[in-house]
Amino acid sequence: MTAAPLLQVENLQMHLHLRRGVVKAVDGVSFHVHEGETLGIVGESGSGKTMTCLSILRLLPIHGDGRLEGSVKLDGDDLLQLTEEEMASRVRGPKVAMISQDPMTSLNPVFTVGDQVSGPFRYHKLVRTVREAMSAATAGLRRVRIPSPERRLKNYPHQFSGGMRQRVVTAMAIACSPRLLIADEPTTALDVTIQVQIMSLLRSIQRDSKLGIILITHDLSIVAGLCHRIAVMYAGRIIETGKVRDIYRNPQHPYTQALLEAIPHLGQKRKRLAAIPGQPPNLMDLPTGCRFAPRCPKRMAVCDDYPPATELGDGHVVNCWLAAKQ
Amino acid sequence: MGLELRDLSKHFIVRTDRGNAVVRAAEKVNLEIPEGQTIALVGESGCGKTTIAKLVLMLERPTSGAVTFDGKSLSEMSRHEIKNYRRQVQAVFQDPYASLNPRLTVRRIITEPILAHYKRDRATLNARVAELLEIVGLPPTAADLYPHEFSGGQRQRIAIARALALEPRIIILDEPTSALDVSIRAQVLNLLMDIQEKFGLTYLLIAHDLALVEHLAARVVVLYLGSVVECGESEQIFTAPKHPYTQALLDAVPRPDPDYMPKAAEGFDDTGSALDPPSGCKFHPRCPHAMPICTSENPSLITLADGRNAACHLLSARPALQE
Amino acid sequence: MSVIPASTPVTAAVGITPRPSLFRFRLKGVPWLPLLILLLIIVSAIGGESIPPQDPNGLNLAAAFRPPFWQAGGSYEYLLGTDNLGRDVLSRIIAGARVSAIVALYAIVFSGAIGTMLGIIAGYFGGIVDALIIRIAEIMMAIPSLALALIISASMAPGLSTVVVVIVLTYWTWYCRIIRSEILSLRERDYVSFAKIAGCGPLTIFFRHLLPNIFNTLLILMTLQVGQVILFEASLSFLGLGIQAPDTSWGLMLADARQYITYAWWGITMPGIVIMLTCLSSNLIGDWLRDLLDPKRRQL
Repeated sequence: MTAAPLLQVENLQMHLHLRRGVVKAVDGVSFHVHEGETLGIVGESGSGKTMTCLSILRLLPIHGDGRLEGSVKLDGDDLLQLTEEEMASRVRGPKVAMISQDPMTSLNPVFTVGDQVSGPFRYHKLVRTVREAMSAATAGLRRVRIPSPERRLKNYPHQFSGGMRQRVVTAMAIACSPRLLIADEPTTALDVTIQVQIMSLLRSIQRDSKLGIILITHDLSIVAGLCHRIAVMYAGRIIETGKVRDIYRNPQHPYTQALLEAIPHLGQKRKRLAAIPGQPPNLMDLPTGCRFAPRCPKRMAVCDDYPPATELGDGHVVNCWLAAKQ
Repeated sequence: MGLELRDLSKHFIVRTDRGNAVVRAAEKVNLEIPEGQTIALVGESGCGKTTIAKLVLMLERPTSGAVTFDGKSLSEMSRHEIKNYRRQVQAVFQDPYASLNPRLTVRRIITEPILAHYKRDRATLNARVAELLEIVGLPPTAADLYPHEFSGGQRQRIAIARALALEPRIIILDEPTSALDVSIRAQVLNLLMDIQEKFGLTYLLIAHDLALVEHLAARVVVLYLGSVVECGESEQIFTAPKHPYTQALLDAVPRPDPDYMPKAAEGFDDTGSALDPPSGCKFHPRCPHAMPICTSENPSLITLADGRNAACHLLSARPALQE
Repeated sequence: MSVIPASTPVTAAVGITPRPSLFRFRLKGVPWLPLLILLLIIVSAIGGESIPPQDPNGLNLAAAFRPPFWQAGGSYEYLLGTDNLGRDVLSRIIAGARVSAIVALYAIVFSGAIGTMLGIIAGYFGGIVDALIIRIAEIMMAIPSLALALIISASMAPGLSTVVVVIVLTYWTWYCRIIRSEILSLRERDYVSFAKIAGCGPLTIFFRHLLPNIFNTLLILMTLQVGQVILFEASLSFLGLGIQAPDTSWGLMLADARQYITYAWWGITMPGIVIMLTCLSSNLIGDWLRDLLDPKRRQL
């Protein structure tokens, strides 16, 4: 992929100023996503993975004073320089869409699914009449492979199962043919057999429309089959990124290694798991050096300084002194 | 002896658009819980695994059938026997935020079960609290703090300390780690394995995460819409699942391997609803091997040659079917 | 190369430090002004006749409709002016505090206690008990409270006790319904299940797990009710069903002064401001107490 990336994020910062202090939710994150490519952002709660994506959409928490810095280039526009109106009319929906973890709260229980799926078309003035809106909604539902969409349009969200609801949400997200889809834990709330289906749906949508996808997750196993590249986040920063095979076959950062070791996988029976001791750091009071150092089994004296990015080839970059020294 | 479920059923009446309907959350479940081991109930949402946990914990009353403890049905127990049962069976639930009363200190949370059964003076209680906190890996200073001052993993440790307070024989673990962060999960899992070994505990594990189940459990019970579809040694189930549902479930589990693609069975859109279960075998609308008989007749749970149980017409028709 | 042992205590990263005292009183955020206002009203209510500068019932038609002292024609003798019968407004406000305080206190204590108890019972036990209590509450709510006042004052002499009875009968349903729905959600909480699993009896569950957790709601209801009760007393007294002259209350003052509002604005404004300040103060104090008693907010 030599073409210019679809999304280029450079040194993105989102510091949330609260009365009690400054939460460095996103602290200098850089990555890119190409057309038709899936980037998995993996991290625990508080690692800044969701905040990074909300920052791309410039959706900041209501509480506190969130300050964005850096640059987010999408199709030549720097999203951080646009006005709020431009973001609403030109970016959110037509260019970047998002689906979130809980398909129940993403849908309004008092409107029919047809009303909601046709919402993006109406808002962005892509349809003029009710009839057009409904046929657009039908097509939308068909795209996410909901059976007998004409009939389902008149149903309310509670009449859908969890997996179907997530399909509806996906239909709304891709309604305006966005270039980039942000999927925040899209399958966490779903049963495992349904999870696979949503994943394969995302894959087929991507195949059809050259969509760039950012997939946020806490679970390394869910993203393995779907992503092209992975970025592992810890305490507001990306600590390792690379092609999916490099990350799984040859993880360099002790945190990435620990994440892969710490969860039981099918086929390995009753052995003690390699637990990561301690807790993730407080985002208001971060260690000066490597942020994983206090929990790291391979900690060295030099870890009191933040490790530089080390390029291991083929886009595999790790921020760890162990790699830097070799 | 220990715990046994005999023909246990639980039906709920729910109001729907079309009048009252019956949800068969558990339907004639038979189960023996072997002592000193971990037995896991697995299945997707609505399969009745949590209902069974609630029945065992006497938070719900069975519609029919019984939970028996040392040979005696819970519903026939005297007050005194119930108190004894409560001492033997404790639990840890999924949500570490909901399971601790926000207005009580950790000390009061942990001593609550003890004080419900025994009179103890303050010094004894404090010593016990310190001991329990040490077992679960928390410092003694934690005793005087409130739940919100802890992270999710630490709260789950507090919940485990409370479950251990009465020195029970059996602990029901309802999704004990699924609300925790990945890096914390392993800590709690290891802790659970350690205390099982240390105190010779029996675990009834309720989980949807098959990898976790394979990791912890010696025996596995697969539930689908309230009924047992397959049950056997963990190794048998995971290496050679017999019921098509178990197979589908295992195929769908993702692995941290970029070359492995979990399989999505097509036409597999719904997990099915216990509210309106299909006739015959409840799994037949999703089953890739469905036969005419499956739509009309519910297969009974039969014992296979290797000792495990499964309920599928494929197996009763041709007991030797291997795949 | 210093290697940290793998068995680092899990709690190392998050500071678990004991606090010196659980009920450490924090001066920051104490609502001094509302406390002062409420204290003044309580002192007035207790002090009764000895405090007012003038006789609250002393008729002096020559001094009728004197404006407050800062207006032309006002004097320092009658700081907040006089009413149509020449009675000192300030003195009557002070004297009226007693009635308002008593009504508020009794009404809140009784309606709160009855409503909360029934609400807990209904919510916790459910089924037929719940249905019965809720039906009774609904019937009570369907009766207009003024009609209820008429019926009660027909059987009892109108006065303070009538007001209290009417208010209690009207307001317990309020507590009952809100507390019931609160209990319905609380009893499904995991920690209530755990209390049962631990072998705790219903009383322990009531007092340890349910009551403390409805405390916030109760406090908010009670502090909101102060204002409502004072206004309700005013409307009853206005209709002649409540406090009877020569006793006085803020509500009665409002009622008396209403017809002279065009040329003696102070007669209705002054007690009105006092009622408003009382309500506002009780709401602010309620908010503060709620935060003070919530372990989660105590140390923020």
